[in-house]
Amino acid sequence: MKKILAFSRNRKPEPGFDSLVRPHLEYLYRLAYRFCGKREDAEDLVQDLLVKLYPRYDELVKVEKLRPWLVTSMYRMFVDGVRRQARSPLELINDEAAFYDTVAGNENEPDEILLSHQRLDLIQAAFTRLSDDHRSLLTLHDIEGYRLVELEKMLEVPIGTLKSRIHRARARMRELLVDGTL
Amino acid sequence: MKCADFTQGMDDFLDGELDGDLDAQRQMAMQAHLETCEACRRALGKAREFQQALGAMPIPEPSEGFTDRVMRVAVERNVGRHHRRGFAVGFGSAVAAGLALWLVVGLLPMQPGQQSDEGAVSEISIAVNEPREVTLAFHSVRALEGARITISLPENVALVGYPGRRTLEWQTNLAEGNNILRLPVVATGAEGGQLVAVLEHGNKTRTLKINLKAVKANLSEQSLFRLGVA
Repeated sequence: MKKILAFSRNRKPEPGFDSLVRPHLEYLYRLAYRFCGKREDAEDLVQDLLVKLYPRYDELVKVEKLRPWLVTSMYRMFVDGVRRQARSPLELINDEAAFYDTVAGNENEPDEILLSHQRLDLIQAAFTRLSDDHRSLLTLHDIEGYRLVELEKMLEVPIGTLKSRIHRARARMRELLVDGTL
Repeated sequence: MKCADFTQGMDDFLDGELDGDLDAQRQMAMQAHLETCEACRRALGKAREFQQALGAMPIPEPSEGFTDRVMRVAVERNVGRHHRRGFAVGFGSAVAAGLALWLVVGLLPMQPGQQSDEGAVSEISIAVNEPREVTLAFHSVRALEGARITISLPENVALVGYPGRRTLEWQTNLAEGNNILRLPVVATGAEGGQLVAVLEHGNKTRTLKINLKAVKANLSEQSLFRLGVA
């Protein structure tokens, strides 16, 4: 009886789930931020992932390499969320001034560092303007270093298709960036 | 190799560098071209800088207490499921000591379910000194929080794991649909008696009565009794 009452009243986290997943949360957040482009959305994505995975603890403990598994789960959630929201199409940036508006300058900084900051801001601005698909694939491959053979297994997408999409993403970035700014 | 060929293959070249699996022959051809073409060297340099810059894009810190919060919310949003599992699983684990025989009994095919009307009495046989699992299913058309369950046992029937207890009472939540409760009972005397299960919620009460008839020891069966909750 005490166990029944104790079980019903137990709101503490499953200790196993906490110790299993917590070491990956910071990484998942960073990845989610790359996907979503906004802190709040990134936190929501990680939150939704944990809510979904909590009842699947027995499955999680059997996973050999948990981080790629978590990444795959979160990527799929992100893609499903994007499909549900049906976001509006990207607008091609034709106005160079719009990019320079995003630059955070500091007159006291050496020109090299200022240029470096400007460059990063421009890249950041272009990156957020990519489609969700392009942004997430560039994140996984070009930034986080998941190899194509790994992504093929994780995302269940043929390597040829992955390559095409990643190459188109890079080309899109080049279109969005002002020539000569890198 | 011409510049157009190099440019066309530059993405594959970069993929090969990133993935560590450059095609040897292709690599040689592109390297040879790079040695003779400053324009393509510059283009490749820019592409590599671009890759590095992607990784250098700043990421804001998450909000304060982020990791603790997401872990806590993951639990809280699943608490309803915990309650549902706890209804049957928590009780089962509490009587684990006497479950070896119950598990065998539990593997046998279940008898057809009997739906009991309010107050109706059902009857099953239980062997003296041979524990048997009586399964109760509390069916609710919607999720209910704070339901109270009372199990009353007759004098010559014991609940395995709770020696000397005639009444067990606790509060729990019910999920929509069937909520299964498995009671490992054993007749301790030849007379048997009536087991009464009462479910209370708000001002509503549902009662299920089961006559437990004590018989000589033989192979046990499992019976399912279902009580509907409006």
